[in-house]
Amino acid sequence: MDVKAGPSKTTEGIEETARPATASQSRLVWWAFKKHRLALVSAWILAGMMLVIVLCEFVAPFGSRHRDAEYTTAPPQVLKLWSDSGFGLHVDGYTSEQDPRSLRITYEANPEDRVDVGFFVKGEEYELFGFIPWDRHLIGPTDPDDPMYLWGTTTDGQDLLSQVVYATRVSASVGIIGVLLAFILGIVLGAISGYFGGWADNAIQRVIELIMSVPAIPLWLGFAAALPADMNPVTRYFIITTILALVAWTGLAREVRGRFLSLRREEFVTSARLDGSSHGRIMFRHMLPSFSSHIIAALSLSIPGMILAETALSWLGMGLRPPAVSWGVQLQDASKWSVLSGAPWLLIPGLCVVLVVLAFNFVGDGLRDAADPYKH
Amino acid sequence: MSTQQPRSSLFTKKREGALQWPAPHLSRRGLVLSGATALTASAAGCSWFSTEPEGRGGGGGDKGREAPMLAERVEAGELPPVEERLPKEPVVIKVAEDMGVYGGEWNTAITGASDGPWLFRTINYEPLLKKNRDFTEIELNLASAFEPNEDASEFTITLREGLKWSDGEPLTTADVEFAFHDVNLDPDLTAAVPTELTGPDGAPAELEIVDDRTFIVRFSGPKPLFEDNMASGVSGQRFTWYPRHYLEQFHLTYNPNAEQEAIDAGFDGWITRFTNLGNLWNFQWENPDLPTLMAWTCKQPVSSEDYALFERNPYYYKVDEEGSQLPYIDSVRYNIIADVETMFAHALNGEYHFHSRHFNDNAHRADAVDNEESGNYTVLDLTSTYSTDMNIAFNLNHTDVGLRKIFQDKQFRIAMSHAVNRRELIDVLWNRVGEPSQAAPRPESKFYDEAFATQYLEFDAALANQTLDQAGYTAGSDGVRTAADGTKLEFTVAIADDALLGTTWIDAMDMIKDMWADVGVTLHINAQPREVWQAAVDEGDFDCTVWTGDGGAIDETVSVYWYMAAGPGGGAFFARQWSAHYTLGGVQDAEMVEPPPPPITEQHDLYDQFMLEPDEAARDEIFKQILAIAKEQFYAIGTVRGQGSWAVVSNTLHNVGGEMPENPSYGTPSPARPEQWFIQE
Amino acid sequence: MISYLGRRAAYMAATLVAISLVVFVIINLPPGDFVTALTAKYNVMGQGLTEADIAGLRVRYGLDGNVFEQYWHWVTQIVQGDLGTSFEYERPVADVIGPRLGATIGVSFVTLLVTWGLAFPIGVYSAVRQRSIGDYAVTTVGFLGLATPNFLIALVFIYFSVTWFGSVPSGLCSPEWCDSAWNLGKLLDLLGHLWIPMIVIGTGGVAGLVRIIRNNLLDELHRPYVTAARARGVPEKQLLRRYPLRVALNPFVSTIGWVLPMLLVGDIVVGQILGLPTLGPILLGALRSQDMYLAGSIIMILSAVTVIGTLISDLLLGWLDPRIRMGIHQN
Repeated sequence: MDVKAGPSKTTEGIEETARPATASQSRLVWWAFKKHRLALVSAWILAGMMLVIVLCEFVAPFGSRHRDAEYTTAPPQVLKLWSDSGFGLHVDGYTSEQDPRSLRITYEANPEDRVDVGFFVKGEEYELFGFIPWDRHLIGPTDPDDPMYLWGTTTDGQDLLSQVVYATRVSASVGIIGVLLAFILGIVLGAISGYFGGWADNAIQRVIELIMSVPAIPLWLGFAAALPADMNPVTRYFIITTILALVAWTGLAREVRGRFLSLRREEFVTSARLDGSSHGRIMFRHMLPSFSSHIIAALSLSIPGMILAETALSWLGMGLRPPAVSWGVQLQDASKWSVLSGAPWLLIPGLCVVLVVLAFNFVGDGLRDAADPYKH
Repeated sequence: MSTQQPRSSLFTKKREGALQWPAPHLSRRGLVLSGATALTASAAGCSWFSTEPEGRGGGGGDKGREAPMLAERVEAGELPPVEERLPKEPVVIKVAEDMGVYGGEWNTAITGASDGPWLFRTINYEPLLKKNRDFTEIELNLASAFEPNEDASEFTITLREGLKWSDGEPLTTADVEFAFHDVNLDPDLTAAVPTELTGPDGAPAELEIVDDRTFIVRFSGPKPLFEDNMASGVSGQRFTWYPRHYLEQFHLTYNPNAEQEAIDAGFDGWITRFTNLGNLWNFQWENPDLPTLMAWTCKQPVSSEDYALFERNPYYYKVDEEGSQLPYIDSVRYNIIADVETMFAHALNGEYHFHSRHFNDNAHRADAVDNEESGNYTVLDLTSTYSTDMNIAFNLNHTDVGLRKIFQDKQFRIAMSHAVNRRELIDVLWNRVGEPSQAAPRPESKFYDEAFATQYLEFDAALANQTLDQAGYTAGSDGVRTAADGTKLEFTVAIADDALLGTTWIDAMDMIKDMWADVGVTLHINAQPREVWQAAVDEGDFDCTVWTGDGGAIDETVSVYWYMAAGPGGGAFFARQWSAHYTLGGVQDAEMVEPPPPPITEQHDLYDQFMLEPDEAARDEIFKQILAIAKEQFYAIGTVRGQGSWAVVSNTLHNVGGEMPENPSYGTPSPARPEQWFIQE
Repeated sequence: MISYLGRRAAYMAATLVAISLVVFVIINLPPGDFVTALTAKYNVMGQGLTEADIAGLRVRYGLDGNVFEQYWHWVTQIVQGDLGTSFEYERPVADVIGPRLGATIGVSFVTLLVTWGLAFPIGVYSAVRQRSIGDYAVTTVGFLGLATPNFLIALVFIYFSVTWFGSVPSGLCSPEWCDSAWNLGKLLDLLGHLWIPMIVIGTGGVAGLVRIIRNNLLDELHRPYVTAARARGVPEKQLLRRYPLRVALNPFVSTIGWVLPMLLVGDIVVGQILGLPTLGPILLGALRSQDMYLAGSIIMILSAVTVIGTLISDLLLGWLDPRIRMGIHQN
């Protein structure tokens, strides 16, 4: 589609020079973007997600290694304000029963056993941003030993809400970091390819064609299986991100190349060249900014692919592995019959994936529509 | 439970079955999706009757001497009458509960062509001798006589008279000779002589053919375990797996053109072709032309796209007490379903007659039990034979000298054992049902030693800390202990991770990670795909690993690798190199980081004696000495003896006979004699 | 034109050679080899292989030579039309792949129809009615297919199929129909099994295609010629049908090349869960057990199809769109 995008950009380039002095292009893009309601809502969702990523220890009621042997696969609780013992935010504790033959443990809410819940409560200690020691949690039981499992617990007795919060940090950042890596590769190689043309273009195009011709999953599987055995989860995580990026940059590079191809004969480029600007300056100072919103749009559209790739890889057992938590790992645990029949709350990570992927898509679409503020 | 169904209900049920059975199923299927599929189902009505067992009017009081499908072929002149097909003295199988009826298809599933073990366990237990259902006694099977000489170095074996391959050709000592010389001892086809065919000095046995039915196997010294070998799944079939009349044409010794013919047929050479058609363990599943002795022979190979099918062998050599030829069931169908959860969905839907693999773990138990009624099946508990469901082995042959010294320190292992809160593991991961135990024989084993099974078992972090302090592991400022030579007590556990094993081990070690952290030991977890893990373990490239506690009962003296540096499959996890030193007779000693210390070699000597001792009681005494050393040395840490796995048994399948052990050596369920199982509503 | 074709063919050949190298490297990246996997398998059965057994197996499977020899062996075989022997299936690779090719192409084709059938109306609608409630609604539906992990939808479908209808829709046929000759009943049975992969794999691609169609159409709708036509009083519907819609059809052609690998990626996961007799699940199995000739051949075939598909789609695009055709000549 980059091929067809060419001619329309010609007009944009011309109009670029006739930009009104009162509103910058980014302002114009923002105005156009605001019209796309869904995109705006999505942008707020993503902002919330970013906050969760940054403040994850604070947002999670329990630490990432908290485990409660008494409550395995316990259902979610409902936050209540009023009970017989008076007003106040609380949840009901559990009573449990085990079937002697099937060994299934069933839980009932027990209104007798009131678990008081508060905001900014004291809980497990942690280090915010990795260096500020703190022990407050956004929400949690006032007595940290009480069971407060708003999204229920996992099959091995961990608080699902906390786990999802920690997984969000891992999975969303796989997407974002991966795309940033892909972005750098894509921009640089796409720019060189489109700006210089000739043999450089030819060589880069062939490489892109090569990578795109090999089906992605075997590529990932091969790389992922090749990772050294004694690798710790953090390194593994970064390497998987890099692998995803190595496969993903090609689309962006094509997009960038297309833009460069159509822009390189524009007058503003020619005049910059006559001014004696270096190639680098022309490429990254003059040409790139003229379609930066397109790039941002393309970026936000490729993040979902990354996130989904992580879930698929982890599901196939080749991505992140337990005990690391990510959406993919959680969904692998959740794609079990027993979850569908007895613990549907464990599918919540799946909802998170859907929500975030949708949000990135709408933001990307909104940006793309808004990228040419003069067009409509 | 199908197996406990009273006999009286058979008749009333059977009548309805023939007519009524397809109907409810059809109506359920009809709902599958919209009208389109409803149409399918009703259009499919006819073929339902013809493919389904119950539609065939077999059974009833007089079932006859052979299956109706074979009787038809006899009538058509395609087969000789049943009297001529059976051996002169067929093996008489005592049915577990009821006389069966002929017909039906045993439906089960595999994950793909690489899932041979399940086929092996279900339809390939036809050795010279056979173990009984309890696995306690050895019976005659293909052999009608099996006589050792005085010192158990020479065995005279007579084949049953009139045994026939599934194509009707007789099984004779010519086949035995071919199997022995041209397959087992042919270095091109079998790289190393199988251990059951070598004498105490490692030299292969000698084979003497006496007549058509009798042969003598002669070893260089006593080989008292040969009898037991000949009753086991693989070893016991080495002499009778290779139909000479069929395989000769592919063997270079008998056909000088075999190489060229193989290349013309698209193989690399005659060895590849021979292997593909009739060697290694998977050939029975792959080659429909291969004559076999199994109850059901291959009609559609396992490498097919949808399913593999095995159909009754008209020349099968076993009968029930009424003289009717077995098997009762017409065919066995292995549906190919790669995903275990999908396979489980089929099981819950009541589609499998017997299945005890892939999904029969704790995690699936609740759903299986809850769906018993709607799926018309029963969950049958299998007896666990594991010492524990997860034993922890430290690599005593570690290449890093610092870690090796720590792992070899018994005090360290004792402390690590005391630091594990097994009760919490049971509550979280074993459905709250299980017993803490060490890697020792189970209570029902004749080798049970309570002190061995329960030593260092109680959870006591203070005691663990104290033990570590006394052993000289001092805690640093970060709380992590260091040995006297400066090596940190920080290491990685390698765990095999695949769909069949589930994630219990990973979760358990993740919990133990916290427990050990409390006593100043840092554990990292490395879950790897099964194949990668295997490669790492085989090369000794690991700190610590976990595996099931094989050898807890039934096969204590065979799967010895939790008690000493020996055993099948590469030997002990805790001492890979010392195991290789023993089993390979020192071939790989150059790679060994350290020669084995006295307790290890003492066990090796005892095991040598064990192998040579003809008297069973004396043999057991020797093995108890080996176990005493294992107890004293405390090589590996046990965790939880869980409830054991289970099988899905359709309520229409009979004669399974109730509970049985789950064990790879036992080959669940083959000693329960699937050939006498039958299907009836 | 001839020289252009010649050059493209040369590039294609070079790409294929490069791909074969990449593929071979990928397959050999993981530690161990097929014999390691086999050892793991037999250990589970309680039948250990001795060191000598293992060495023998390496020789038998041709895994004893160095990597370059193995590569050369493999490539020369492929050039001669021999895909090698699958270790796991112990049969020629062609025999393993052959029977599955039909199902793979069939499932892919039907899925493709679903993708296109959904994407085209959604794309056109959301471009013409940009930012209406309808636009939001249909694009959300399109994205949902993309956003929900395939394995999850497949399992959820199976769950409800069992609990509500008492049937597990795995495979491509019910046991009673698998061997039957083709007739209406078998066709209907097939459709009864095909709908899940169709929906699960198909919806994944809808969102991407919708976006391309929508953007192309939006670009086109703001062209001067459209404005001019509108000014001349051409009715909106006719206006849309004349040219912009034709341009919006371009993506169908330009994606031909990438479609098959995309579908196969979906098939790896979905085929695994649903037990489809397609290439996806055996590719996964082959990669895991390092059955290198089987895995290599499947990836090679797919890559070749992609490369050829790209060439065809480029040629078709040039033929369809004069602007691109001119561009070719300029080059």
